[in-house]
Amino acid sequence: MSIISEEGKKTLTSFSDWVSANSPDIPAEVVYPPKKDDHGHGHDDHGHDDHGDAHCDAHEEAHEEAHEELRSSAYEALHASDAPPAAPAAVTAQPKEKETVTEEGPMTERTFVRTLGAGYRLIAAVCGVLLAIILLVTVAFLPRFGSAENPALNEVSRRYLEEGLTDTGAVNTVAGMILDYRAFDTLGESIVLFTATVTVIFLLQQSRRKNDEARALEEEDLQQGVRSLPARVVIGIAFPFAMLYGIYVVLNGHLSPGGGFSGGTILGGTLILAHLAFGEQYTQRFATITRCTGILSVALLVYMGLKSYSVLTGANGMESMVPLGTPGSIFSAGLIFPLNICVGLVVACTMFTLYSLFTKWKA
Amino acid sequence: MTFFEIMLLLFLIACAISIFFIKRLVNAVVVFMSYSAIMAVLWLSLESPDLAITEAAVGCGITTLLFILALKKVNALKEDGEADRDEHNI
Repeated sequence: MSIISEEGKKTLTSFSDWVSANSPDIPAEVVYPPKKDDHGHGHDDHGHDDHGDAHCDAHEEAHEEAHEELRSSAYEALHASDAPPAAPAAVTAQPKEKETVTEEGPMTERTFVRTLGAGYRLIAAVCGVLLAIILLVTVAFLPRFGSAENPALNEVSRRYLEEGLTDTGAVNTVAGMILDYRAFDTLGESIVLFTATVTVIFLLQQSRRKNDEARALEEEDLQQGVRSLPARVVIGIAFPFAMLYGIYVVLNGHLSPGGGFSGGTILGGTLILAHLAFGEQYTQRFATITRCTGILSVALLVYMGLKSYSVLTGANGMESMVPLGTPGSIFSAGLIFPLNICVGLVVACTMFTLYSLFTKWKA
Repeated sequence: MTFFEIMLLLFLIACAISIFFIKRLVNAVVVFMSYSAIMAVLWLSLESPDLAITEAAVGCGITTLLFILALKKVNALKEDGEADRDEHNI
């Protein structure tokens, strides 16, 4: 019982956060009165449909009592469509001329949108059918899967399959391709991830400084993780095994299917799960945003350095100082092993940084 | 092509088409996730386990988590968010 009421309070606080974010002059305590009778009163006043207006009503009442004038235009537009049939107290309390504006504006807009929507749907249907036909016709002209006359079965793939083991030393030919023959391509992909992380940090870190009071309420939820006990137990059991599997996939990339990208994604996803279940308090012991960004940058630089070395030696016909080793053992395949670790770290840190930045961000 | 693969392909197409007609975004995300899971099994049956692992990790794992996080951030996980969306016909 106590858990349920806690849950209700939690949703209310988060909603009032949203309100105070929209109209920053109201302090969070005034906006949100968590009393039962307030809520009941609001329910009698407007005959909304029943689902989910617990937050809505309490919020409207509180807002009316506090500051009518501060009602933001975005909120008004959102609820203008509900207003005419229900006639809530908040709208009637407003000045007359403002009311006429809100009555007239959305109506014409809505009819316009509706006519536009009909035409848009027709165009969308025609475009979709046309695209489907074009794609199906194209598929009909594709060569049969696995046939010997395939254009994909040319000298390039034959060379990769026949000489790949002696060239790169990797048992897993795919790893040999993406981290040796085409490592430049993989470098580009890693840089794309790095750029995405940097962009997200630039975009979201500024808004993090705003409305600290409103954030403090949600902070608790973020720090503790989810309340659901089964989720915590299952994630707690699965977390070390998933982590271990991710590390295995990264380290064994040159021997078995997998490699930096897939293993890094598993690691990042596992970190995200831990963050989800046990909150920031738990994950910041081993993975903070600054630490992850540092690891990301260092891994990318190491990748660039290693690849520059192999490009230098390869282009000048020099013998690489890194031995290829015996195929099949863990320390083999030359530079592929460290490169896999670098890519795995880049991907895992990117995933986790993006997730934790987005969870901290408040609109 | 085995019977199993044909069933998977049919289910894949059903998933892809049904995403259009799902009103609740959370359900659409879950169907999208199942699409990725089927695709991962299909990659495995096409003998490309590398792609299968990546598809399972990215398609089922990360994408779903990010989608649900985004939905939570725009308050679309709540019921009234759904009502608003139907009203505006988006």
